[in-house]
Amino acid sequence: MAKGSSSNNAAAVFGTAVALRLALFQFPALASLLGERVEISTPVTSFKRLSEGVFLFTNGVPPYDGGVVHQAPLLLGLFYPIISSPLLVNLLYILTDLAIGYMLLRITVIKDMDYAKEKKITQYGGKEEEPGMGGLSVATLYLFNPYTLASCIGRSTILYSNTAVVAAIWMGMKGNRSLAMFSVAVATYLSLYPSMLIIPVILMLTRKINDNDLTKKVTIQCTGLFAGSLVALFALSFVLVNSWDFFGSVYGTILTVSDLTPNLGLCWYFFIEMFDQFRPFFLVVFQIHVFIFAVPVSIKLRKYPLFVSFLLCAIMGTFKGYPSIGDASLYLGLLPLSSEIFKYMRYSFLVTNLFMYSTLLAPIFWYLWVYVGSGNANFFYAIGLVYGIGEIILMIDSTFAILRRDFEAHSPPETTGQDAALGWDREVVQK
Amino acid sequence: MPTLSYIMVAVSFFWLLALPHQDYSKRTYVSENALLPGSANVQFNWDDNLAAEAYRDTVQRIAFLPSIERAQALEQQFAALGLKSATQNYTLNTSTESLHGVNTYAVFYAPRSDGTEALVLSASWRSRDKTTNTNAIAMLLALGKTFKRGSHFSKDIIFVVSDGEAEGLQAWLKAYHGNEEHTYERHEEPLRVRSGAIQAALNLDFAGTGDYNALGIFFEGVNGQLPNLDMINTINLISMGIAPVELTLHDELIPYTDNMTKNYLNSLRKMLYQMKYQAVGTPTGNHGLYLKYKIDAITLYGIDRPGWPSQRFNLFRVGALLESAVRSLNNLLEHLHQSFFFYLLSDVRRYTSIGLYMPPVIILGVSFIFQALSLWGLSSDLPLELESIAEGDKTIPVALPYSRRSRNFKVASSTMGMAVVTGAATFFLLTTEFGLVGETPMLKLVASVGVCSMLVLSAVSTAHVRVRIIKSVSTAQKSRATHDDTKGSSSINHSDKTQNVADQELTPAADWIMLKTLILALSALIVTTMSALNFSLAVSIGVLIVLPYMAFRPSRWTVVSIIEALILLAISPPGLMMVASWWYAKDPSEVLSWVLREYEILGTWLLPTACFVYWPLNLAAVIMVLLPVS
Repeated sequence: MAKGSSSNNAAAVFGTAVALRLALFQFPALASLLGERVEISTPVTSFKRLSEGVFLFTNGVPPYDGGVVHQAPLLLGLFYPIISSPLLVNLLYILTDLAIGYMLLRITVIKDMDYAKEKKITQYGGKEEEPGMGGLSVATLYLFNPYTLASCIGRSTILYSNTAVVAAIWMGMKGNRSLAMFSVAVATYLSLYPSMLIIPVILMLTRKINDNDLTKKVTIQCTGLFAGSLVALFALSFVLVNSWDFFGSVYGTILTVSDLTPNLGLCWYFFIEMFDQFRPFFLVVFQIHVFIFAVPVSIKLRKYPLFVSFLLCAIMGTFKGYPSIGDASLYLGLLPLSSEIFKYMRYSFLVTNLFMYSTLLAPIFWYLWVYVGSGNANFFYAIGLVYGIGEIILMIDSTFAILRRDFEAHSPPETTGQDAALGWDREVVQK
Repeated sequence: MPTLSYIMVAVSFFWLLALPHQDYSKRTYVSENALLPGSANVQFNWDDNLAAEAYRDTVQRIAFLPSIERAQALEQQFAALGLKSATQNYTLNTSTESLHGVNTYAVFYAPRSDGTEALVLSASWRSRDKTTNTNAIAMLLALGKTFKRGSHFSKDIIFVVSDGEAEGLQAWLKAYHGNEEHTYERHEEPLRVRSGAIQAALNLDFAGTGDYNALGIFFEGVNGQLPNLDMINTINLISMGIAPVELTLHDELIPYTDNMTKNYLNSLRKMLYQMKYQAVGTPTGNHGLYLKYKIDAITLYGIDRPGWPSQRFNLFRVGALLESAVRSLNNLLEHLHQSFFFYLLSDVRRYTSIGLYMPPVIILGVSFIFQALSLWGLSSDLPLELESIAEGDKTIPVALPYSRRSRNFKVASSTMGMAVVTGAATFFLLTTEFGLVGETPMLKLVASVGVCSMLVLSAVSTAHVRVRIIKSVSTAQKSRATHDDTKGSSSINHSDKTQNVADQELTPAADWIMLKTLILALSALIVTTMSALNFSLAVSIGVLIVLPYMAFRPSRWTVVSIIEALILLAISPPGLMMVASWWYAKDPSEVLSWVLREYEILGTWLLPTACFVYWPLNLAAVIMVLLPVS
C-alpha cells in the first residue's frame, strides 16, 4: 500500500514536471527569450551556437574554424540527426532533465541505505536524529527549481554535462566503477571542470573498503578507467570531425576565457578591464583557484563524498569562466542529498534572499545597461558579485553545517550538569 | 527588531520628505563639455521671424483639414524649403478604439556630415492644451528655412510633425528604427526618407498664435525613464544667456519667495509632480517616446499666463533659443552620457541625484526585511524548554540549539502561488477581448474582483476548517490521555504523554506567521528591485504598503481582522482606482480605460505591475489577516 502510493506520487511528480516543460515549450518566444539571456546561456552552452555548429557540420564546413562553436564534437553528433525537429530536441531536453531527477531519487535511496547502517547521532534532549529528505522530495526540488526550468526551457547545453555529473555520482554510490569513471570522463569531456569530481567519486567507490592496499588498487584502476574513457571520447570526436581543432575551440575557450560575453560570473569584467600583459598571470590564478579546492575539501570531508561533490559543483558554478544558472540548478539539486545538515545551517534566509534579489536584479540591470542606456556594465557586474556572494555564503554555511554535525556525532551534547551551563554555544533565553 | 523596523520606517519617511529641501539638493551644472551651450552666434533673424509669422498663418489655414490633406500640405511646405519631405500613414486599433493618422517629416541633410547622426525637432498637431500646436509647427518650418542657410551642421536635422497624441510619434519612431508592424492592430507605413542614428530630440509645444510668459520643460518619459540631465541644463543655460526667457518645470509658475517654508512646499510640489508621472509611467509629452529608443529628449512648452509679471516673448526669441539649443546639441561628439540619468528635480536648477535619494527607499526595504526576519526567528526559535539549568541560585530556561521546530511553508507558499496565478488571471481578463456583447473594461474588472474574492474566501475557509479539525483531534487525544491517567497509568503511558507534550511544542508556527514572513520578504524584494527601475513607483508602493503589511496580523477579535481586511482592500488596485476617480472627479470606468489605453498604446508597466506584483501581495495580505490566529 505504502509502496503503491509512493510510486503514485513519483508518477505525479514526474508527470507534472513533463507537463510543465511541455507547456512552457509551447511558447517558442519564451524559449528563444530564455535562450538569449546571458544568465542562462553562455558562449559554451548556448543552444544557438550549437545549432550553428550542427549547421556548419551538416554542410561540410569545419565547425570549429569560425570561433563561434565551443561545444564538444560529440554534442554536435548527438544533435545532428534531430536538430531539424524542434519537438525531438525539446523532448531530448525534457527527458534528460527527468533523468537527472530520477538519478537524484536513486542516489537518495542508496544514501538512505548507507545511513541506516550508521550509528545514529544523539541530539540534545536525548533524541535520535531524524532521517533526511526522501528521494522524491529531492527529485521534486530539482525538477521544480526555477533555475532548472529556465535552463531547460532556454535549452542550455550545460544540462548534458550536469547529467553526466549526476550519473557519475549515482554510479559511484552504486559501486559501478567503469560506468562511474566513464560518466566523470563524459562530464569532463563536455565541460572540463567536472574532472575534479573524480576524487569524490573514487571516495564513493571505495567507501566500503577498509583495506588500504585494496583502496590504492581501486584508485589506480579508476584513474586508468577515467583516462581510458577520456582518450576514447577524444578519439571518437576526432573520427567525427576529422581534426583536432576542437581542442582549442572547446577547452581553449574554457581555460583562456577568450569569449568575454557578460555572464553571472566573476571573470568577464575582470578580464575586460585588465591590461594584456597581466592577463596570463591572472588567468592562471583564476583557473587554479577553481581547481585548488578539490584536494583539501576531499581530505577534510572524506567521510561525506556526496557533500564533497556538492561543494565542488558549487565551486565550479561560482568561479568558472562561464557560469550560468544551469550550474546553480546542479548544485542546488545536489544539496538536498545532504538534507540532514539543513538544521545546522544558519544563513538560509540570507542565502535565499540573495539568490532572489540577484535573480530579479540581473535582468533589470541588464535592461538598464543594454536597452535604456542609463546604466552601465558596472550595474550588471555588481549583481554578478551579489550572486557570487550568495553562492559563497551557501558554501560556507553548508560546510559549517556538515562540520558541526560531524562534531555532534563525535561529542554528543551534555544537557545536564556543569558542562551544559558552560556550553559555549548555548543560547540562553530569558523569559 | 520590530520596534527597530518601525523606527526605520519613520526615518525613511522623513528622509523622503527631506529630498526636495533646498539644502539637500544641489545646483545643476552642464557636465558634458562638448555641449558649450549658447556659445555660437544665433542666425535666426528678423526675416526668419517674419517667415515664422507667415507660416503661422499657413498652419492656421490647414489645421482643420482632414489628416491626410494637412499632412500633404505641410509636406509641400517643407519641400518648398528644399528639404526632403514625406508623409507616413499609421493605424492603431486598441481594444476600445481605432486611431488613424498621417505624420509629416522632413530631413535637412547637413552639408558637412556623412549622414550617420541626426537630431530631431518634433511637434504634434495637438498641443497639451488640446488646441492646435500652431506656433510650434510654424517654428519648425521657420527653423528649416534658417538651417538651410547654415553650413555648420554636422548632424542631419529631422523635422517631424506627428498626428494624434502619442501614437503618431510612436508610429514614426517605430518605422524609423525598422520596427514597423503590419498587423490588424498596428499598421505603420515604412519611411521613405531616412537619416542616421538620432542623438537627441526636442519636442515643441507652443499652442496658439500668441506670445508666452515662460518656458516649461517636460522630461518624464514612458515608465519613469528620464533623459540625460544635460538636456535640461543646456536649455537652462541658453535661457539665462542668449535667449533670456523665464524657465520652469512643467506648466506651473511659482512666484518668487524667500520664505523657507513656502520654498520647501513649492519644491515638494514640483517633485511630487514628477514622481506622479514617473509612478504611473505615462510620459508628460511626446518626448517620452524617444527615451524608449535611447534618444534623450525633452518637451519645451510655451506657458501663456496673462498677468504673470515676466517679460512676454514671441516667436523671435523662441527661434533664437531653439537654434542655439540645436547648435549646442550639434556639438556633441558622442551620445549624451556625462550627466545624470537618475535624478529628481525640485526646481529647474536643482536636482537630487540617485546617491541621495536611494537611501530612504533602501531603508524602507530593510525595515520590511527586519520585520520578516523577526517573524522568521519567531517561527522557529521559540525556546523549547527541554532543560532548565541552574546558574547561581536561580534556574534559567535554556533553548537547546538545533532542536528547533520545523517551519511549515506549505500553506504560505501555496497561498502565495495561488495569489500570483489569480493576479495573472486578472491581467489576462482585463487585456483580452472576448467579443461578448456588452463587454466593457469595467465589467471585466468586476469579474476579476470576483475571481480574487473567490480565492480569498476559499483560502480563508479552508484554513479555518483545517484548524477546527486539528483542534478537535488534539482535544480528543488529550481527553484520552487524561482518561488513561485516571485509570492509573503505567510508566509507558507516562512517557507517551511527555512525548505528546513535546510533539505539541514542536508543532510548526501558525500559518499566518509564515505567510506574513513571505509577504514581507517579497515586499522588500519588490520595493528594492523596482527602485532601480522606477524609483517613484517603488516609493509609492513602499509608502502605501509598509505600515499595513508590517502592523496587521490576524486578531482574536473578528472585528479587528475585518477592519484590517477593509483597509487592505482600500489599498488594493480596485480600491486605489476608486480613490483616484474620486480625487480627479472622474468616473471609475474612465480611470480604468485610461490605464488600459496607456498599457495598450505606450506599453506602460502600471497595469502589469498592479496585476502581477501588487495585487497578489495585497490578496495574500488580505488572506493573512483573515487566517485563524493559531
